[in-house]
Amino acid sequence: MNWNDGVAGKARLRSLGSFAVVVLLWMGEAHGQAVGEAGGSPANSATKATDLRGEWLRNGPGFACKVAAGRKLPPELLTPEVLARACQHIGPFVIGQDAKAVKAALGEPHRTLAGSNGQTQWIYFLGQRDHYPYLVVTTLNERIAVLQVTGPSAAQGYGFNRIDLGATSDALVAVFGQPNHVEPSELKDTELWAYGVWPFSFEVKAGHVTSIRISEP
Amino acid sequence: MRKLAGLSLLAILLGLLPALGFDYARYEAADLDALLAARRPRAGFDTFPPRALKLDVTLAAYAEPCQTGLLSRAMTMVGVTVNAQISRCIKVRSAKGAQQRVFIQDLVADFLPKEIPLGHRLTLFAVHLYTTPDGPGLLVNEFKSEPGDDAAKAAANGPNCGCGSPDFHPGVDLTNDVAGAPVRPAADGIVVKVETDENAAVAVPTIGHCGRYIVIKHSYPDGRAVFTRYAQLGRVVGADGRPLAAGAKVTKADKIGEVGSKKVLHFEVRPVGADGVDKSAAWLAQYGADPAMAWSRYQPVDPQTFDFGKLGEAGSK
Repeated sequence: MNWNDGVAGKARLRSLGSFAVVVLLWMGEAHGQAVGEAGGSPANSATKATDLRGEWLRNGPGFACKVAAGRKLPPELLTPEVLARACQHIGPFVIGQDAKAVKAALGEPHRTLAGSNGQTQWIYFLGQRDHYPYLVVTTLNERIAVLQVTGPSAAQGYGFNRIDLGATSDALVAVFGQPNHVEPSELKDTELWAYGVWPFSFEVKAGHVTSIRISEP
Repeated sequence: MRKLAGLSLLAILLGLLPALGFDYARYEAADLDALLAARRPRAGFDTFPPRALKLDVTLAAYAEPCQTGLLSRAMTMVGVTVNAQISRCIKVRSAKGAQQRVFIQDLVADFLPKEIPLGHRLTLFAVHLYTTPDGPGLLVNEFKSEPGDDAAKAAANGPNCGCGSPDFHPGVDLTNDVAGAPVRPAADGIVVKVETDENAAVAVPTIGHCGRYIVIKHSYPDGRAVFTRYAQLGRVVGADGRPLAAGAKVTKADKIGEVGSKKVLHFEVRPVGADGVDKSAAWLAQYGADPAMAWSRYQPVDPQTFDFGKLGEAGSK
């Protein structure tokens, strides 16, 4: 009955299952900007966890974090948790980083909100005060737990994994593939696109990315 | 039946063509109750690699139009393309009695009334494409009657038009190889009923699920009258393309509708005053106060032996 054969192959794909970080360690080239523990100055001694930079790559139904490293990494950095965080950058900040690095780079937050479970949210307007775009840094135990950048158009230097605010949904799909979950956002005419257990999500309005959120892997 | 010559009907009933090339083996046996019990999102919808599932269920309702926007979007998202129209849903019941609405290809839906009576079991060959808070989004690509279901088999050999049941077919089916061919009445008369809802609910079995239909009353000088019904129509329109309405006078040369997509015209004749007037409480409760449904109170006779000439058709008014 006019059944598309392409479906059968897809049906055999395994489901996401539990979250398992697939890390590709790329030793072929030195990576670009390194992020220091306090303020973004390049590390010039031993490589630290926050120095690592990687990129999420779609890998079947899941993702792999491809980490580029210019040198041999010490054993303590060769863990899935550390390497997965290498893909969790927005701008100069990375998930798991010492929260002091944010204040060192951006100063005192424009607003501070007390969150639940001991979390604190720092709000930084990246352009004009009280206007888009803005960055929300959620801290827990003095570490960065969540980073979210919001606005209708690109905030210079605050992209994530080749996706900037204002990117089209087609561009988003080209990098991340189709989402595993879509639901209405709290914002009017806006959808939340999530990727199952993977620690990033996007808000999409009228075919454009209006918010990027990353969290602990 | 000579009055139907203008219909250009072929007296060859369409066979029930088997689904050729359908790969049943790719569908994995699954339990609808387990599927319904699976985790659901609190809002929105989840997508995942589509799963081809074989589900044993009970048919609760034939196809009716339903919103397919989310289905289309999910199909795009998971990379499924089906080169067929999908605009309808059927309702099925799980083994535990849970009712679920599932999408079905229109072409497949058209075969259901011919092969599976309501309340009978069948096997669905469906793809699970997404899940919402309301449950799984399933698209039915094919179905089979349950092995050993004699009633279903009888239905398969029953009325080609889908009207009535294996035990009761209130008329005769005529086929045409062209959907959209004009349908003309058996004699002059007045339109008394136009049903444009293909899935109109039917509470009395003698009326049958007959899709879109039109009923004409033919009245004669001696006081006798007969109703004729033309069912499974496509559009119910006159020669000018405008919809017909109750009260319209028509002649036997007039177009009163078009042969539908099933390419079958169900034709029935119900003489007024004949034996077997329906006095059932079900009929009275459902249609007793509706003059437009008065025709359904009279029992149908065999159109192939009914002689309109004896009614003095020239004097119809």
